[in-house]
Amino acid sequence: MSAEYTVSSVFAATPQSVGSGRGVVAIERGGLAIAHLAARTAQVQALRARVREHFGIELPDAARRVSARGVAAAGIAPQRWLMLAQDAGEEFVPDLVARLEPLATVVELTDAYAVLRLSGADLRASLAKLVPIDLHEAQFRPGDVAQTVLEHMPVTLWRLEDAPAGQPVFELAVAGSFAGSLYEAVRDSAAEFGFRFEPLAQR
Amino acid sequence: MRIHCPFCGERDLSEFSYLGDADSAEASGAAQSAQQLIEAVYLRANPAGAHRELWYHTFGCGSWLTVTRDTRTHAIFAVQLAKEYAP
Amino acid sequence: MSVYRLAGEGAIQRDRTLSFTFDGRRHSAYAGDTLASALLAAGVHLVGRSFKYHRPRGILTAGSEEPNALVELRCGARREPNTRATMIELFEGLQACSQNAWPSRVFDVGAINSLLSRLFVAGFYYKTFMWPAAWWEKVYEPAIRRAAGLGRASAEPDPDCYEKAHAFCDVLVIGSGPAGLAAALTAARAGARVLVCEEDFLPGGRLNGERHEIDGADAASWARNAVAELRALPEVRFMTRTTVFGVYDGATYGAIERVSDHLPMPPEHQPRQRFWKIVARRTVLATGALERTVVFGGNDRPGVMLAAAVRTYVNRYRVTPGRRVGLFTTGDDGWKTAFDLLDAQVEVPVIVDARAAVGAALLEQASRHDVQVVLGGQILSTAGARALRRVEVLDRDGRVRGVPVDALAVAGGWSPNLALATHLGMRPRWDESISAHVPADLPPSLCAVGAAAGEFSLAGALRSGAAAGRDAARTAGFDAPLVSWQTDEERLESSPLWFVPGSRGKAFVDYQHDVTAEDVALAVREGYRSAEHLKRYTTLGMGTDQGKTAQLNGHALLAARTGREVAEIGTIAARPPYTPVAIGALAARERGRNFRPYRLTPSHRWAETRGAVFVDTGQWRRAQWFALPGESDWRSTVAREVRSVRTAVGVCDVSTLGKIDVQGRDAASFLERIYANAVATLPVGRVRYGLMLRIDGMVLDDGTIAHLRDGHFLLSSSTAHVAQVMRHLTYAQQVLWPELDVQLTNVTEQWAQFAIAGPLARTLLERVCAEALALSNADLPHMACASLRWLGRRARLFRISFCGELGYELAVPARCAETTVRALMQAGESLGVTPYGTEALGVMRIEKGHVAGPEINGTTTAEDLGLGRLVSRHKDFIGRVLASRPALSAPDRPALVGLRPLDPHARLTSGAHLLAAGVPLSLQNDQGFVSSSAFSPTLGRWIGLGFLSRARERLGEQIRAYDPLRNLDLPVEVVRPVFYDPDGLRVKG
Repeated sequence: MSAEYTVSSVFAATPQSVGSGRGVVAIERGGLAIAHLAARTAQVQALRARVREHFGIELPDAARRVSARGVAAAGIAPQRWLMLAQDAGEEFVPDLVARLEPLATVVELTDAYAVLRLSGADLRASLAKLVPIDLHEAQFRPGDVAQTVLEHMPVTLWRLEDAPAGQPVFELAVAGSFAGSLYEAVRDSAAEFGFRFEPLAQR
Repeated sequence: MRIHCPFCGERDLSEFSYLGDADSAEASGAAQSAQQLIEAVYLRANPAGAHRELWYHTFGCGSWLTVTRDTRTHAIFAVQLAKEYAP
Repeated sequence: MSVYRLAGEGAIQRDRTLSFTFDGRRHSAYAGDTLASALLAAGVHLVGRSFKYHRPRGILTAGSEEPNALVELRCGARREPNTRATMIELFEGLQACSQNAWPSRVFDVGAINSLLSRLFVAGFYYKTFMWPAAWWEKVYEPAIRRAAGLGRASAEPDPDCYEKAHAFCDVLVIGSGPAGLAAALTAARAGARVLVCEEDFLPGGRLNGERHEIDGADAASWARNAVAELRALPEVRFMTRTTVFGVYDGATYGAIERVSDHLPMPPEHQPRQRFWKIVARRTVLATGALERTVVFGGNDRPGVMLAAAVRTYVNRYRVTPGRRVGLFTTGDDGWKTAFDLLDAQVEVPVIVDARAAVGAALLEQASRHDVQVVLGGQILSTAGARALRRVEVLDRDGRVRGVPVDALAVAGGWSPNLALATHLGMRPRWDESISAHVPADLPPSLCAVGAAAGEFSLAGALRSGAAAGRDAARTAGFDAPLVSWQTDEERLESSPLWFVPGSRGKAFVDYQHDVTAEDVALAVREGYRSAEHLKRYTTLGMGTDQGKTAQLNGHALLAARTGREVAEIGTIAARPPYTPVAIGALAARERGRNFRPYRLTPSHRWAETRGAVFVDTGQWRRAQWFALPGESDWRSTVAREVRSVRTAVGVCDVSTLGKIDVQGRDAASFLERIYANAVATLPVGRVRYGLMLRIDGMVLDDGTIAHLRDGHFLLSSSTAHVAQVMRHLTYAQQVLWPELDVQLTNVTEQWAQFAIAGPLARTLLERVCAEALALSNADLPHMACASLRWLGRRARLFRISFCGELGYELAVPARCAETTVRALMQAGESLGVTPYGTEALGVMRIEKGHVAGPEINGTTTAEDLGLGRLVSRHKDFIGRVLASRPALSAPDRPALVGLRPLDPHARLTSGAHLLAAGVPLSLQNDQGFVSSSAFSPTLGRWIGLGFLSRARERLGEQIRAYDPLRNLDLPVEVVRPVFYDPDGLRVKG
């Protein structure tokens, strides 16, 4: 079958806001190709060189996210990364498999995650109610990655560069089936500051 | 209690799950006789004091960790990735 | 203005009058008052009745240690029992009621207990209600519960919400008295991240209750300035109304912030309370000290109040507890109360100091007023029906005289507030110089300062606070200059008097639990000599106040009675919480619909449009069945779904099954060691059933293994076991055999998977993917798999069946799920395609005798499940050795059987016990149980699976299924567990 398939928001179908809508803004991320990358035994040096050559990225040794030319690598465990590419199309992951095997195992997880981009002046206060880790300005720098627990859900989050007005920007990824629960938890934690949500536009 | 995961950094206990005595668990991989396995599975050490044990970072990086912990005070002396631990 | 409200400033706002009711009577007070200060100002001194004897009680303290003044606050769904009047910040319209009194606190019938007090001594319950044993639950306990106890909780659901939050800091300062503020200022000025938690709504601690000067300004305004400075610093968070209630391992602290307790109702989007989990590098305990009472006759009468509390009411709230206030003190500190009262124009008829001699300065200051000073004196008893009228003073010459008073301030000395300093099991040390325990043996992350460390002077508190703040900041890498503040050095001598030996009448040690000096004496006579035994026998210190005001007095009595020093008695370990914590605050958001997160399947929204009824299975919300319009009975819906699958074709979302991708050079040999059955012989493009054992030989999970391409496998696991299986596999990978090259990826969420089952399943699939894939038996036989293009993306098709019909599972990327299921429904419309849910799935797997969660329950072996033939004899794998223990293959060990009621209409229930026919109902005759049961629409009767002893020999035997919970008892026949198509021909069709 080759018809187009419909993609709609996995969080909440319509834009929503609570109160002023200004404290925390959540934007659903779409078009993000995601692959899980695990180095084969004793191949990590060769893998690094291959990734450097193809993407201009130095695979991080720690829980850090680095990016170049629209492709990002986020360290999620020793010798394991998430590779993320914006609007790279359906062939991004199959290409990655072709380029990196047999130095690494590459598995597509594009459909496995629901991702929210969060920003706003009160974002840290809101996140303090959600995750048990220290997200202080100086402790969790832009590019830092953490996997932790949010209301019993495993989450992966990373900090991006601050918005031009100096407000922090984070992205939060959960397994797609948890999207509704994550959305409600984020909305409730931000309600006192004012919250706004922009779903993925239907295409 | 907080455990310093070598990959994720210091995290709250609620992110981890516990397995037990690390020596017994490692021994169970190589054990062949029923008696050796019974000792590894059912007769695990449970000392009052320093204890090397296995923890799984369930809500973090998914690494198995060998944690050396004082069972009386919950003071943690060392944490290593189980994969990298060489007895 | 009431005669009890004094002139002068204090910390109340005279321009904001608030009205409130107590026991239905309206009063007014000011913003900044607590309910306690407001009641005192209104002349209400009798606040409630005591727990056991229903004695009239008033207000003893001005803080969270209050044992007496417990009230019911608010009404309706927000009614909260046992709240301390001393901690309730007044708000407009506040409603409070006294507790444990009927018909009213003034005329209380229960006070008859006081006359029967010879019965209600320590150990009363143990001795009186021993016999007959059967009466305990039916008679004694209900009666005791009615008579005793405190307030009534609301039975309605709590209308407010609560939340939790996490905080991290370099320095946590607990308490904002002089020592806490000095520590916080020092550390914060150096740049450290400082978190200050103050229990009160007004920061400053004792500075608000005393008339001190710091750097030439009055101490209360110094505190205000310090707090303003702290609040202006970017790295400081200053939280008032926040009680740190527990210290936990790893420098973790629990705190409750009472966000809206001081308001009639929480504002929109605000919680009532917030539960903070705090992680601090260093913590400064500036929790102050608690003043003790003295144990003397009638020391519980309303009007008897701790001396420092009197000063707090006078100086902070500008309220006096009486117009003629006596003082009974054991140290210099208590005299301050008399002078503060006198300066506020309150009469102080007598100062009784238990010491024979005191400093000349005190006497000189007292001589300026009309005060009788009795040195070396004691108070033997008090008098007054519902309020204090008179005290009996014994002087050192043995003369007793009555002094009319309407309040008595008691200064029994100070004990450092130890609770948080002992939560981790640290034992405090006895300090003879202050006759109290001080924190000892603290971990490096914790230090105590000021009065909490036994340093009772203001100058000492500021000094020790600043030093601790500097040290804590340095640990975090911030160099802090030591700040110092100017204040007067005080003379604070004291000599303890724990109890008055010649007391007349009841002398209370524990006010909240009505434990008297006589109870302690009785406990000693009956042989209880340790503090822990005394506590359990008399319930001393077991109230919600944990005996904060008088525990030590009880221990001193015990010491005296057993001829020991107080120091030898030791202390009781305090446990969290420091003050009572609402369970709702700990649960925070996780209640009701937010009790746990939910997971939706990828076709959830489509299922909603098809009338699905959903069921929670763990976190997943799955379609249980799809009711058609007009179907009112779920059984007929399920029967229709089953019949459609058995005769035509059905579609079911099975995405919740776990999917684990396994790759690597050693993937095959890794799986060979994981599974009990052979994996190495599985060719590419084929699927095999797989059985995973735990190391102890029990079955962990079953599922399928698909060999996708060389060195690349996909495992499936049951929905409930995914996390466990993943943990098991990573354990084997990382701990047992780190040398193997194998990579594991949980791909459960990547793929939506649809079961397409029934005799017309192939016809349906041919309509949607014949171009992409050949589907004939030759091309894709039973237990084969293939990949295909689907909606422009990569998809997989597995020829597997759980329900026993010709079946496929189509796996597509999760975001294609809705389009996929709609396409299947559309293509199959003319075939009668039917969506089916978990209930039909369950019925069909029982008809086929497939084991699932109720059978794979952690206590069953492959042999028990009838899967012994799968277990390989030719290789080693996890669980092999212990699965072969002899007892696990004993013939009487229950094994899987099919069960069929003899009466075709009879219902069979899971959980029913199985017994041989004709034997008595007893545990000894129990031979197994029914694990799964269902009504089979295919067979037109109830069927079940179960475990039965000596199963192999018993096919055809009639046994008995007995379910006392559902009141069922019926004969059943033992049959093979496969009820439908036993030869398995249909799946190959």
